[in-house]
Amino acid sequence: MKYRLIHRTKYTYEGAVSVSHHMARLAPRTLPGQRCPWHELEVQPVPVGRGVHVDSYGNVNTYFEIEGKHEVLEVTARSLVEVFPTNHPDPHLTPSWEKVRDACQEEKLSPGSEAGAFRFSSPMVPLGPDFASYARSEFPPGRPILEGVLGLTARIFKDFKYDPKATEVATPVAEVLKKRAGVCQDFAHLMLACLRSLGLPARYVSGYLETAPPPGKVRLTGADASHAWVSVFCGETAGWIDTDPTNNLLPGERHITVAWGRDFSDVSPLRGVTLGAGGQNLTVSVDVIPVDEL
Amino acid sequence: MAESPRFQPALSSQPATSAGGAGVWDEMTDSKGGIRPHWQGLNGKINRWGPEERTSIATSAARMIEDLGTTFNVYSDVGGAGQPYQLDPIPLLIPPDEWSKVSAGLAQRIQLIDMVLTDLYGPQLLLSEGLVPPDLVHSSPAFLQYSRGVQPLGGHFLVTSGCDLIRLPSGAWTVMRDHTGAAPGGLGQVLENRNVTSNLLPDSFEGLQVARLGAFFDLERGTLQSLAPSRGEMANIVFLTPGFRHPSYFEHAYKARLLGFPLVETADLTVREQRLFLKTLAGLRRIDGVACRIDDDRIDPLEHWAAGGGGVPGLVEAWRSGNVAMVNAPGAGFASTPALMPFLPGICRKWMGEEIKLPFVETWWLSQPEVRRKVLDQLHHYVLLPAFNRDSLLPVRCADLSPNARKQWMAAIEERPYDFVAQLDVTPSEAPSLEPRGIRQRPVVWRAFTLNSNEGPTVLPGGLARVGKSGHSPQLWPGHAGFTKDVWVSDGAADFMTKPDVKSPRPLKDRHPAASEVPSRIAEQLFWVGRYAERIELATRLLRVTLRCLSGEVGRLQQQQLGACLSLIRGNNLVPKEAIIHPLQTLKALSSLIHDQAARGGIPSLTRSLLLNAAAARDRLSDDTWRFFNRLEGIVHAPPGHPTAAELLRTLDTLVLHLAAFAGMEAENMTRGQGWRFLEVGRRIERALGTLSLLRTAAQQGDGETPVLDPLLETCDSVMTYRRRHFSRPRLDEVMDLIFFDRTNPRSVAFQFKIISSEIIQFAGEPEFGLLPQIRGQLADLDQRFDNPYAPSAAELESLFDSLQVFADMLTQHYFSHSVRRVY
Repeated sequence: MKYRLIHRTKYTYEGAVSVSHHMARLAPRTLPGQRCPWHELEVQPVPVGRGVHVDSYGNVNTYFEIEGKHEVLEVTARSLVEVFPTNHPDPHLTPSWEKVRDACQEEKLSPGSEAGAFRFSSPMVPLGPDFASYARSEFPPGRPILEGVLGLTARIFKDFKYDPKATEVATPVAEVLKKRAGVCQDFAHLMLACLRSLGLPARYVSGYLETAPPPGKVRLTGADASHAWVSVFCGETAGWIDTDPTNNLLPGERHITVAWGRDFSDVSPLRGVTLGAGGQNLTVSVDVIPVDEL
Repeated sequence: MAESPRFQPALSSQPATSAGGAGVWDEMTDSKGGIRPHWQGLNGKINRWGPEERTSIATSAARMIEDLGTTFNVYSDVGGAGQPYQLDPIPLLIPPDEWSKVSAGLAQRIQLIDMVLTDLYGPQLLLSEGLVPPDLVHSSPAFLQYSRGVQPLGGHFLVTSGCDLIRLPSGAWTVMRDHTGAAPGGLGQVLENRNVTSNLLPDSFEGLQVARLGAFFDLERGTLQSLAPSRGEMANIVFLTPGFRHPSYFEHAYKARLLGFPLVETADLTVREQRLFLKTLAGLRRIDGVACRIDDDRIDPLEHWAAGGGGVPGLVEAWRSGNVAMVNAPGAGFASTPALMPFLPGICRKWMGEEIKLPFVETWWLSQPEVRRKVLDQLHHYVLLPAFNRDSLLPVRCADLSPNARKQWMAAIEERPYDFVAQLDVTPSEAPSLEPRGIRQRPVVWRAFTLNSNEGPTVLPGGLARVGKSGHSPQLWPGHAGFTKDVWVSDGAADFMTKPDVKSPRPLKDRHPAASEVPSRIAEQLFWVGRYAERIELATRLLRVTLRCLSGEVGRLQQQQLGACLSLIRGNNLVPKEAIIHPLQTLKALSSLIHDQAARGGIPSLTRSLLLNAAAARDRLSDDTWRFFNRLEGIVHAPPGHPTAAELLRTLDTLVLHLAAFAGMEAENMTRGQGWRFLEVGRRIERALGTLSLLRTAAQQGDGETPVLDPLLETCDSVMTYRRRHFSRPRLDEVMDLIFFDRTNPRSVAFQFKIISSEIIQFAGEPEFGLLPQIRGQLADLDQRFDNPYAPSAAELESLFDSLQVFADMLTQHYFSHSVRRVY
């Protein structure tokens, strides 16, 4: 599938901002299953300083600064992305979860040791017995890892209510576990906490999901949103496999990957520090437009 | 696997254990009871000290340290860190042969650790070659992902490091801990100790040919300046401190002065176009290097979003772009983990082709199953250390654990073994220490310092010896407390002998920096000192006149006046505008404005704001001024019970006198530098704003004689003048004449503008730069109003108030936040 992506972020500040510094991670990654032939980042007002670097996870980071009084900041990312169909391995044929866990502990630098970087706690994903015990029933001894992952994905989908009012960006994942509610970011963090508490490597993926308009309706502009899901290391052969606990499915052609990291704090699409503003009002609109619709 | 077991700590280099030698190494006396040769002179001297001499030396040492403290640590009385340590005047002596061994070992060690960091933040060959377990890197929160792939300016991740050494019963100096982060603390303290100790024992100091420290600091200064790319002039380096509340602030101030670098806080710095600048009154000054004393996770909020605010936004980007050198590089603190220690000998052998020179206390990272099993079997021999500071309960000495606690720790270790390090419980050597009852043997840990200089690694010939208590594991000694002593290295090395020793740097107060050196933050804080002092004065006067209506006979006139006073109080935002004060509750409401810490806009909260701003600009204020500030808090401190109107009045009278004293000190005792100018302008702006508000409230009450005019005149301290001129009940137009127009009345609005205009032309900066033309224009527009003889309406007073606010905002924009850039 080919998509045109438009991700608009608009900050309206209470009181003028004189100087601000930002970091954006809005460029879709190029991967075996995904191509990004074109990407641009437009910033208004025009930044005075701008720098691009690839971070240690391979994500493209764009740094920019705005100087001079401004009350509105608009950041628009436009991309063209092609996503190819994925062949998922037979869950039953993946190695047991303990085998994957133990392999990561005796690693050397190979895909497995890359995985090792994602099995510890991170700023927004603490580990603990509560998470392990929530996940434990999906990971009985000897169960193939992908079966367990699918089971946990389904379980989170079933047990947790999608409720944007239940949480905020900084809601601790332990609270999400108690409330049994949240949004995609919370479910991703929760699943990471569960998997890592069992010693399994798992990373946070940020991106977009193409949402089909209701039958007979036209696509509404700006109706899509950023999305987040999880990728789990399933052994050397199967490699990393994505799973989406918010929708209880394995991502395919409708999931577009932008960045990955240990948790949201590594990949937040846009963050900034402003000098002078009181409060701020943020509006985000995302369009994921299949190219054949154009 | 073909190679030897992967990630095995190299045991062949034999980590030092305490099992070998029984007992304790005595620094001064050998096993046969004889005095070791290098101690003979000093031993004779200290043994001759009688009780009186001991007391007098201890007292002198304490006094000298305290003097240094009052000069450099002026903040201890406002919530800043107090005097952090005490000095034991008997130095630790290191003979030449030991020194040459230890210094060679430390020189090798800094190169080794720098090489490890450079690889781990680069290609990570150490992981693929099996010399460092990948989990050690992955599980460490101190390993900074954003530093990966960065080539630091100057080429080194590690430029300065500290190393804690202990001498085991075998007699060998042995590494207990490395310090590679932003703050290998203690280097400033070394200098203080040297100054005091060499003054107290001048003969011994000369006789032992003690190596001087000056050359090391010259080299450090030169190294910092050489890291940044040359821009055709001397590199600008700043010394970045977390601020006056940090326990090591004293030391930061001392060291910054010594090196001659400005001591700055994060709020003084800004990043523009991926370059770092210091905000000064004259504009933005490009900074090439930062001697950083801030923890890695506090330097840049863009990178440490999850950790919450603090830091300089963009600083990491400036560093990543190669536009500023950071010492040490962000992420260097990773190598402080004791978990790395057991792997260093193997790395040294493989990568440097030589054995590691300094032995280390037996240390194990418990993530490795075989190691863990071995250690858990013998846990009572070890001290548990945190691998990454995730456990605030660590370190613990396992021998002291109850069976229950031991079980709990073992369970925690099994659950997350990567968080734990076990280090052998060791007994450091003991050295003579001066105590009230005589000379006593006390265990010592020697913190040595190494510089990865542009001329190769160099070790400070000296250091900081920390003194502990016998029987306490040295890993558990508190970091910031207790006695320390100087370390005297006897070394004939010519370069250290010929260069003069370090002079005590000049204290902060002696300097009157040019505008280009006054950080904007200091000016901003003084500006707010002026504003808050004035705001407190106005509130005090207003509350006083209101309280007077409540004491004595409450007649009709007084009732009217009370209502008028309350309208003034509301008009000046001392209480929320919509607040209704019931006549019977008035006393309680006023009392809370005077004594209640929580009352917004009340005197205690204003006083707190005043003190916070004053504290941050403390070194620009005289000791007398400071004493005045300290007393303010006592005056407004709530008395027990419910004070009567008369008691409240007495408090307010005292306050008015104190505030007058401060204004007098400011006028008579402060040098007319840029700092004073901002304080003065802040005061004048605030007084004009307050007076405009009072007049607006009066104008709203109608023309002619209204009850609000009497308290207004009193609040503006202009009752006598008015009576002298008019011999009648006050009328609005005449009050306006005196309080608005009269340029000779120091309480009038016109007078404030006269002062602001005359000060502003002396402000720093080129006259046509940035907002300065607008600032002058705004002021000229405002000032013109006083040439127009018609009394201003309430609406006009309101608009003047707003224009003056805009003017104050422009000053802030131009001088403090640098929203328009001027680079020099």
